[in-house]
This record gives sequence, C-alpha cells and structure tokens, in this order.
Amino acid sequence: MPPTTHPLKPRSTWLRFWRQSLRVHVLIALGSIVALATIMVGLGIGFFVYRSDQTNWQNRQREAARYAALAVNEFVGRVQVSMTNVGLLDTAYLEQSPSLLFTLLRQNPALLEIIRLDYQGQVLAGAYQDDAPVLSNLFTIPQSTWFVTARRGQTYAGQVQISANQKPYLILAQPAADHGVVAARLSLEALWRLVDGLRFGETGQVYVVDSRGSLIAAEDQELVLGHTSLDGRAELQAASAQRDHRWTGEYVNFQGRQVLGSTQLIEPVQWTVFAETQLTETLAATRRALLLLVGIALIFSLALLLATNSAMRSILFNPLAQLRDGAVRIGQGDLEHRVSSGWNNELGQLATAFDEMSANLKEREAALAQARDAAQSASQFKSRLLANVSHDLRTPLSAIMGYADILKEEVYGELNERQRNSVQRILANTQRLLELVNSLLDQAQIEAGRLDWEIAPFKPADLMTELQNVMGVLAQQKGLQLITYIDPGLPVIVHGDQRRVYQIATNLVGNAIKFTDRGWVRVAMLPDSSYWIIRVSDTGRGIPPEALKHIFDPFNLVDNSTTRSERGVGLGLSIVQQLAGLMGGCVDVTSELGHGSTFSVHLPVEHIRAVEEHT
Amino acid sequence: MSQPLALIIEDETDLGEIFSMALQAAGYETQQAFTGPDALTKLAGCAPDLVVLDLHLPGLDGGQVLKDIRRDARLRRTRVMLATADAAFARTLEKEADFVLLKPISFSQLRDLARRLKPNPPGEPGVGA
Repeated sequence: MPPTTHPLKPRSTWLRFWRQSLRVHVLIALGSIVALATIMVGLGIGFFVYRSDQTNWQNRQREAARYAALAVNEFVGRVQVSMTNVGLLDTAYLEQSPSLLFTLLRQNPALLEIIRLDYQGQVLAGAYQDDAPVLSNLFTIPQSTWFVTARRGQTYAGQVQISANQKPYLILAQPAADHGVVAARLSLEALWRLVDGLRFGETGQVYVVDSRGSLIAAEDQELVLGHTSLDGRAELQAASAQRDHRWTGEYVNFQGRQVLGSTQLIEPVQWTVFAETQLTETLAATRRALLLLVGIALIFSLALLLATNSAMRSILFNPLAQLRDGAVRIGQGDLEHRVSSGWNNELGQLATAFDEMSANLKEREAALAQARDAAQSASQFKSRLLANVSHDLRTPLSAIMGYADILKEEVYGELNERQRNSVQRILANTQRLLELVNSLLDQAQIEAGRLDWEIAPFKPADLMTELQNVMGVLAQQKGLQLITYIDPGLPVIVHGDQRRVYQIATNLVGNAIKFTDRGWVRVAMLPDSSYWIIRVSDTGRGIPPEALKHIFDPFNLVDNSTTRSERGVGLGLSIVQQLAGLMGGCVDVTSELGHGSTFSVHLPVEHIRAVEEHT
Repeated sequence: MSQPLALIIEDETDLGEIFSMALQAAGYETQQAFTGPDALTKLAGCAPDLVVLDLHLPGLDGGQVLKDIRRDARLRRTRVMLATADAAFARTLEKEADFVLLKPISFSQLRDLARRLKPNPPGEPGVGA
C-alpha cells in the first residue's frame, strides 16, 4: 500500500510564544494590575489635588475680591466723606468762603467737580477742576434723576459719561443739610488707576459694574468707554442673589474667557466688584501634578515589570529552563544528567524529584536492558534450536521417505493391497511432517533474520505454470477447478525472489484448496499502480469475522473443529505475511462465511519497472 | 564396459543406501564414501560417471570435494549431482555442479534422473555423450 503523508501545517512562532509563554502571561497580568492600581491611585491623588487646589484658588479669589472691594470702598468712601462734609456746611458759610470747595477739590483729585444745592435745586456753591463746570451749568437740575434721587434721601451713582474735554466721569449725588443736595463728578481715570493697580496672579483681573450692570472700571478702558453691559449675565445674577453679592464660581465671563471669579458689593453705590482668574492658571498646578503622577506611575510600572521579569528569570525561568533541558537530555537517553543545584524552594523539591526519577529510570533501564538481553538470547537460542532441529529432523525424514518410496516402487518385491495402502499412508504423513518442519524452519529463519534472498528477473507466467502443474493436481484430487488469470497489463518479466513469491502463492493456493470442498480456486495476477497483486480467491467455507482479525497471527488456527489432517501448525499465513512484508509489500483478506475468501498479496513493482527499462 | 560407475558421497548411511539402491535400479554400479577424505581416496582410485555429493561431510566439506573433482582432468567426464538440504550452500556451487537436488530426495526421482544421465552404451545415442 502506498504510504499516506500528513503535511505539517506551519504555525506562527510568535503566536505560539504569545499563547504558551508563562512569562508573557505573568507580565501581562502584573502589568494590568499595576496599570489599574496606578490609574486608580493617580485618579484619587489627582482628584484630591484638584479639590484642594480649587478650594485654595477660591479662597484666593474671595480674598482678591475682598481686597479689591476694600480698595474701591475706601476710594468711594473718601469721595463721600468730602461730599458729606460739604453737605454739612452752613449755607451762609459757603457763600462767605467760595474758595473752600476749591481747596477741597485739590485735596481729593478724584473729584472733578462738586456742587452744593438747596432743596429747590439752586446752586449754592460749586467748584471744578476741568476747563468748565458741568453740573452747575445745567438748567434742568430740579428734574435730573441724580437731584430727585438725592432729594429723596438716597445716594445716586450715575453712568459713565465723557466730558467736553474727553474725561470720563460719573455723577454722584447725596442728600445734604437743610434738605439740600451735594453732587459731584467722579473722575473715572482715578478709579481706573486704582483698579488697574489691583493685579494678582498671572491672569488675574478686577472690574467693577454698577447697579445697572454697566461696566464702569476695567483693565481694558475701551470696554468701559464702549458701554459694555453685564446686565442679564449669569454670573451677575448669581452674585446679585447673594447677600452683599458675595459669590464665587467658575464661568465663562463677558470676554469669553473661562474663569474662576469672586464678587463683592460696594454698599454705598451698589457696585459689584469682580475678581477673576483664568482657569488655565487655576488648573495649571493640578495639570502639572497629574503629569508628574503619570510620569512617576509609568516609570514605577516599568521598573516594577523589569524587576519582576528579572526576578522571575532568576527565581523561576532559569530553574525551569534547567529542568526543561534536563528533561530533554534525559529524554535523549542521558540518564546520568542531574538538575539539582541547591534551590531550597518548591523548584528545588521538583528538581530533587526529577533526579530521583532519573535515577529510577536508570535502574529500570538497566533492568530492562538485562531483561531484553535475556529475552534476545532466549529468542536467538529458540531460533537456533528451531533451525538446527528442523535441519536435523529432515535427515531421518528423508530416510523414512526414501525407504517408503523403495517399498512403494516394489524394489523388494510386489506388495499386496494392504501393504501398498500402508506405504502410501507412511508417505503422506511423512510429507505432512516435512511441510511442518519446513514451516518451522522458515519461521525460525525469518525471526533470526537469516532468510536468504535471491533477487533475479523472472516471468510471472512461469510461476503461474508451475503453480498450475503442482497445485492443479491437488485441486483435481478434490474435484476442484484451478483457474489462473494473468492481466495483460502485467509486465512479462518481473524482478524479485521467485522462490519466495512461489512459496507465498503455493501457501495461499494450498490453503484455498484445503478449505474448499466444491467449486473453484482462482489465482489472478494483476497490475496495481506501484504494486502488483497476486489474488487467490475460492468458493470455500470462508472465515468468521472474529477470526479474520487474527488470521495472520502465528500459531493461529481458524477453526479448532477442522480435522487434524486439515490443520497445519498455524504458521503458513503468518509466514506469507512476513515474507510479503520483507519484500516491501503486504497481504489483505476479505471473506464471507459460507461463500469463500480472497487473499491479495501486494508486492512493489520498482524492480519490475527497472527490468522493463532494460528489456 | 559393463555398467557405468556412480560414487555416492553421503555421511548418512541410510540415505547413502537409498541413493545406492536408486542408482542401482537405474543400472549403475555403485560405490559409497562417508567422509570428505574418504571420498578423495575413492576418487583417486576410480573415475565415476556420476557422483552424488552431500555438502555437509565430516573431515572435508562437499564444496571442496567438488572443486577437487573439477580440477582433476581425469574426471572431466564425471557428472556431479549435489544432494543437500542446505539450499544456500548449494546455490554458491550451482555453476560447478551439473545438478542440484534439495533433500528430501525421493527414490523414484533420483532413479529416473540417473537413468536419463546414463552414458550411452556403444552404438546407442544418449544424453551428454
């Protein structure tokens, strides 16, 4: 039969390493745990840093707002003190000393103009630092909001205005003695200088909005002059909802910047002071801390993995590699190899157990070798004995056959019927005994590996003719037909040991004749790709399926019920199979109980082709 | 010349006797030798027409005896028939021997073969003349 091959499937070495490496598994597991732990700790620390930093920043913002409010309050307060003083002055005194208000103005540069009015709105006295007075020149004073408001007993703070000489100002008014009113123009430039001076941090800024939400002081004066209004903005509403407008929060301010802001109220004028710092600054520390944490965590994880890898290598993988190499060496037969090297841990115990195993293996191997040698010498002895005994058995058998033959040939005189019959039986039994001895000798030679081969070209047709001549007689004696067939596709000359092929064929045909009572025995020679087949089929009694499995075992007899004369020693088919195997071929059998059996001997044809090429 | 001469070289006396009887039945005069040296002595004293030669002999094996016969010009007409159970040994001597018979050899088989090998009586055509 042609051998079947199984092509090896190529597998990715890297994939196999990935799946099978304990080290990779451990490092992945450890790496995952470390990464998870680092992320958790990092997030925790980051959150803590963020929270405390933000609290810190909020406090700083509140502080900044409070400080700014104090400064603005003081500024407004100074103005109001001057105005209150003017308001308290006696009307007559004011008329007698018109320079008094000018002196006051010089002492308070934030005041551009100050006037004192009576309860009807008549200007009692006034002074100004600009080129021209504004308030005292008005004809509509009694209808002015500032006069009406102050007349009602409330403080008035007006909107940003620009004087004729381009100075920004706003009007302040408050009640005075005798139901009069004190009004002043407040220089915004002074307020702006103050606010501009209130800087903190890198992005910190302060601005002031009045009670209507209009911007009255900011770092960027253009915004003020452009009448920017914060009216309706969320941060202003949030601040206004608080008592004294004390509020702190994160928001996008009117400039579109993300800021942390804090607010305070300037009570007398109902202004709101904003102190803001951009979030980029307030979050910078947290961001730096997070970056630092991530960096440290990465370095720590890497160091941990490297350390683990190194530790695993020295503690686990190097010993494992030694154990593996030891196992390989022992597997290759080096049973002297020892792997123990003084480890005191479980691996050490494993190594010791390993060494004990090697020692045991060595002992067992020695015992096995001894047993094998004993068995071999016993087997050789048996084969030799068989060969010698068989050989020596044949000599007396030859003598018995010779003398019986002499009697049968009536050399010593004519035999009567009973004598002739007895001589015939002597000859037949001797022939049987001789066949058994020949089988034993063949078996002994096969087992001893001493079978001689004679490889030469021969014609299958000659073999078939000889088979027909010799076995045809036996078939005829049993009333059977011996049919022979040679396929035209079979080469005329083949190469092999004709005697052994003939031995195989006679054995199979002899068996077929022996176990067939009527019908025919057919011998066919067929080509079959790289083999040629000798197929012997019969119409005999067949072989039971359970016996078929052991049909080629030595000393196996199909049916113990067969008569003694039919039974051989049980070596015939075994020898057939062994001979075919030694020739590089094989034998198979199919059988149907009660209908017959077919034995097919497959022999290689390499020699056939070689011979064909040379003929 | 009355009868052709056959020398049977066989250490087994029973087989030697059977072979003798078969050859006598075929019309030969027979002599027997039982060892190698014995065979050489007998061969020195006669020139047999046919030698039946066993291969496993005491003293000197049959192969050596065959080589001696083939070297001896006096024995060039002698036909040698190997009679042995040792097929492998016989195969090595196939070219020098005239016939190889594998034991067991039946009485009638040897008798019939020897009859055919008999040198012709004068005036009669025959085999191998």
